[in-house]
Amino acid sequence: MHETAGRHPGILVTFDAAFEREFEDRLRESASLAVRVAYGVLKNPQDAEETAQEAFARAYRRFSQLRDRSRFRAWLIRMTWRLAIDRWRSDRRRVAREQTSMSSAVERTSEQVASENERSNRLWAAIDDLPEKLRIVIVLSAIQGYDVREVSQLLDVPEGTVKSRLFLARKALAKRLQCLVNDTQRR
Amino acid sequence: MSCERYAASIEDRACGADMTPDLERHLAGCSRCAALLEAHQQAMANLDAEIQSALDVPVSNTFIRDVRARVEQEDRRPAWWLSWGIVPLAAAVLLAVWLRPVPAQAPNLPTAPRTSWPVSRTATIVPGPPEVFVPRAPLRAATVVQPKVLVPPDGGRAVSEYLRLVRQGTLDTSNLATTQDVAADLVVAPLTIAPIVLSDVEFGSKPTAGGPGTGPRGF
Repeated sequence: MHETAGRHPGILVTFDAAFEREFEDRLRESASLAVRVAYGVLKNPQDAEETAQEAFARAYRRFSQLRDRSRFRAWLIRMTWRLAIDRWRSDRRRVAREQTSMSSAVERTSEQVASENERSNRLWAAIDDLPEKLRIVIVLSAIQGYDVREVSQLLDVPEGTVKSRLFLARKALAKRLQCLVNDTQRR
Repeated sequence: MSCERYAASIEDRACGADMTPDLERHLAGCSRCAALLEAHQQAMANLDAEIQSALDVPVSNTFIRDVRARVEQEDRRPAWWLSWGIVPLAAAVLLAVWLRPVPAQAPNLPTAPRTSWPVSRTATIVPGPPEVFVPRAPLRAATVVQPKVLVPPDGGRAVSEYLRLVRQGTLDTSNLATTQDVAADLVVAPLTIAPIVLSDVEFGSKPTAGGPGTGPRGF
């Protein structure tokens, strides 16, 4: 690359500038999406941003290997989701170790948090209990209102598969959160 | 009409399942079930909005700058084996060298003198199997051997007989007849060429009937 710069400095400068500009455009348009995807797993804004930044850093290194640039968002989402899941599992092990040593303090804190935002906690608990394949579908469909076709493109799976997974995820959440029980019992 | 058997279908439909023809016909004639489906769909829409709201986390203004900083930081960061991995790696190498098995040396074996070959300083001579002599093919002479004695063409038989007697050791030299030196018998005769007399050649004569080349050509 530097050797090329010695022979054709103008071309390399143009290439590097175009590369940087294109990646920065992708970064600007996909930053919110990546952070929300990571937040859907980690439920912590700071952790989500750090995970999204790590995903972008990896994407920057491998950006030249991406043949179809139109697949950037799908590529980024899968990378972000994978990194977030890894971090979530690591944090869960760490939290489990901390809870073993500080069980009383955590219990009190959990009660306070539950009283402050019980509905949100129940929602996240229900989402966390979903299988991973269902969880990514429900998170992506909630972000920016993606429809089945867009989610299938982002996950690179058939639309029928997305539709089936979305149905199973919504049904599981409805059952867990008892969204539909009262309406059914009203009859 | 029993609405109970459509309860599950209505819930599935609210969760995103396709509308079945049977359910569609029932909803067309049952306002209560249609209202129930609408209520379920509204509940699911609220759930979606709740999830969407929960995921609506703002991105900090420094996000892009932080990504750049992270990339630059990773560029400056040395490889893992150069940072913390080099210490246990070096320790493992030293330990392996220190604990390596020393090969047992055969006693009373002669050693070759040190040579200038940089690879091995000493060479241990280990008695091996006896060497087998393999005769080499005789090398051809690079130059042609000139004969010491020149024999005239008619003297080959006499020479062969002479050599046979010498090899057998039965040669009686007293019976050998000597002759004079061949060179002494050579007489060089004078070569005389008669001069060509031009007056004998006829010019302008017609060719003879003997054909071309038999007589001088005319001008």
